[in-house]
Amino acid sequence: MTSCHATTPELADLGIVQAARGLRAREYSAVELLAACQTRIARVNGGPPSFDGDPSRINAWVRLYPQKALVAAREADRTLGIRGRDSPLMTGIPVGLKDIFAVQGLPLTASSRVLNERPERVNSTVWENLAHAGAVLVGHTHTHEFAFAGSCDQSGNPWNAAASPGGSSGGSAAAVAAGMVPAAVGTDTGGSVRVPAAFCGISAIRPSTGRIGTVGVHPLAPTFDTPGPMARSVADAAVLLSAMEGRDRGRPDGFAATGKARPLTGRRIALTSRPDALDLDPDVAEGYEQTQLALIRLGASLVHVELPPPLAGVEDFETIFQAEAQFHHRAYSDRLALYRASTRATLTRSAPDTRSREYQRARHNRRRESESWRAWMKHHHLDAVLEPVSPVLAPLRGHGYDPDAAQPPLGALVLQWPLLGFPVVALPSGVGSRSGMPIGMALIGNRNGDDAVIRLAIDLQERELPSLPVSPMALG
Amino acid sequence: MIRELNHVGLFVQDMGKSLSFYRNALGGTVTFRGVRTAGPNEIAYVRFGSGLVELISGPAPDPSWGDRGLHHLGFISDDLDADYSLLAEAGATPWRPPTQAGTGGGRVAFLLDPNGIRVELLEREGKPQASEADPPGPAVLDHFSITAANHDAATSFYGDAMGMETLPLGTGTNAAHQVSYLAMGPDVLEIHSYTPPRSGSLIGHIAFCVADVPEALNALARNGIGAAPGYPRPARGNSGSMALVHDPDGNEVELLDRLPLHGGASPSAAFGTDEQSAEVAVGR
Repeated sequence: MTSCHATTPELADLGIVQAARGLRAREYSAVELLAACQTRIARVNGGPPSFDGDPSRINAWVRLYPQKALVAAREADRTLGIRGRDSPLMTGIPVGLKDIFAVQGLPLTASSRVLNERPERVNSTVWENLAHAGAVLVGHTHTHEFAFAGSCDQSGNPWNAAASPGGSSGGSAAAVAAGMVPAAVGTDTGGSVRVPAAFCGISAIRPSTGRIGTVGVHPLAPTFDTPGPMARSVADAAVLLSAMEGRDRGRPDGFAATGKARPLTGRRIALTSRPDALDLDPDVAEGYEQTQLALIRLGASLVHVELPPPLAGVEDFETIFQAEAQFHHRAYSDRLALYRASTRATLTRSAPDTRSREYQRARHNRRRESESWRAWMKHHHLDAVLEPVSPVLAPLRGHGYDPDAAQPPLGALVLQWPLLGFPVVALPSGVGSRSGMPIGMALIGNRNGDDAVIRLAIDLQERELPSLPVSPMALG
Repeated sequence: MIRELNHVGLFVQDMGKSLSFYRNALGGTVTFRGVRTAGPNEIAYVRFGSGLVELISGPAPDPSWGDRGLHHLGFISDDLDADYSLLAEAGATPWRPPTQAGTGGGRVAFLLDPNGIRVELLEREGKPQASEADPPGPAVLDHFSITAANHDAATSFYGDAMGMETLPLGTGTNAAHQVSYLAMGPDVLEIHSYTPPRSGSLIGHIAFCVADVPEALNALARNGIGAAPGYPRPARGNSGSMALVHDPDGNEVELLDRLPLHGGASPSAAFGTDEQSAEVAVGR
């Protein structure tokens, strides 16, 4: 590992598409790429994985698997040697998995002491597909305990270790932002890939609900739980998304930026009153405006449209979320003392049993709301809706597991989209001029219109709003 | 009032083969075996935990009886005439008005639910044939699945009219496939709706919880029953593994090695290696 440090430290900064190109051209091996990532981890993670973390350290990982990773990288090199350019794009790409995706033979703990460390017997569908494509599992990344909330305080933000990486997929976001891996997998129930992507300055996709299989994912609220790819660019996230659903075709062409001068000519992108109703951080407001200007420069029409009448709201999200999460955590009711304080408080504070009819009504409202918004987007010929991922920047960490602490309104814009089941791409608009922290924008597509909104986001990112480099902390 | 989701009724080709599957291979306990009072049909009830599977063999009692396969869902009512009228008002189609039960024990009536699934109402005298107090076997009933063209009509019928509780489980708001789980005590109904609608049996499968799916498959293999291709495989929600097997009539039987969905008894330890259980009661 040390010899590689001297020769290939920059390998850890490569994204999936770039790294795949070099691997296929045999410019470096999967073993060398893995070594570069492991060297970066050794340098920036802040010591071995820890349960509680340390205020000055990133601590993105719950467990690292160096031996297994080396075996997988050697296997990837063999595949690359035999299949060359016909290898799947993910062959030999080091990845992190949020600690709620089961991998056969490895423990799964959801960053909690509630689950024991016995090895899982079967692979989650997502890992099954990624392993099949030749991805190299570096380790399991930290999550806000059981993916329950949005801060993941045991990990630090690579742009400022004193700040939260966001959550719940905070470890995945931090690992990618610091260049410890080119990509990682998270899940998004009510914002859990979008918020950490925004806070850490990376790109992520919450696909349409139901597109990616959730078998082998520890359930939070299964009718919302959605695995999503996290990477430094949208194009990389799109490659990872394809591999997660088992269709890594070995070429990124389907998602390459178009060559036209004004590639978004004729596209209609909606601005709504939703962000206006919130007190946006000045850096977020500036990023939102810059993104609008960038879209106009690319030829898009920005339209202000009135929202459809509400048929469901945050209260319906909460009803469904609480009922489902409590149902799945009933199995651990004998281990309440082992939860982190805020998770225990959430599980015991709210009504233990949401009435069945309320739950059914909330689900009914959700279906009507989703249909109504789908028709609304169609009626206005909208290609996407633009808004900030979060009205705030990454808050200081340390209070996320404190049940009595006031929590910042980081999720004020995120719940609507899982309620509808619509796809969302989160991408950085830049770094705040006041804060020096990344700002995340959301492009929302119509239901099952994932590929169209992903292409739009790639055009925006590759032409106007370049993806951010690995965090300064990782380079320093 | 509807008190219990009592059983799923199967119209089978060959009682011997079906008993060999459900009793010998899956380890159920036969709680009743007899001949239908009004005809030549043989009837057997096989208990799995607190759930029952009813097997009916012989010729169709009349032409409207339908094909062999998963035939009806049986519910226990404590006031058959009132419930029959109430469900008809709630959108069910009357099919067989209240009459004496084929087993001779109590009264029975049939309706078609809003999606056309046969629903049997039973008014029983005496003790029920399965209860949570009975010892669980190696397989316990977890849920019955049904396919509903109209999801809202189905959840409203079973939820509001029948009084079942909607469980907070599901597989997303995917417009192409909706799933809801409704429970009455430990008995659970899994309602699937597909867009576009799928053809096939309206009652889709019977799901059993076992202690360990691979081990259950070994036990079934000793009885000459193999898993469907591609099984076992991981179950949804990181909860063990699952497998699909087919009973002698080709009905789908799902095996799961997780805890029962809604608090029913866990399966007892292992499958035996030989004959599983004796008939404990014949007739009543």
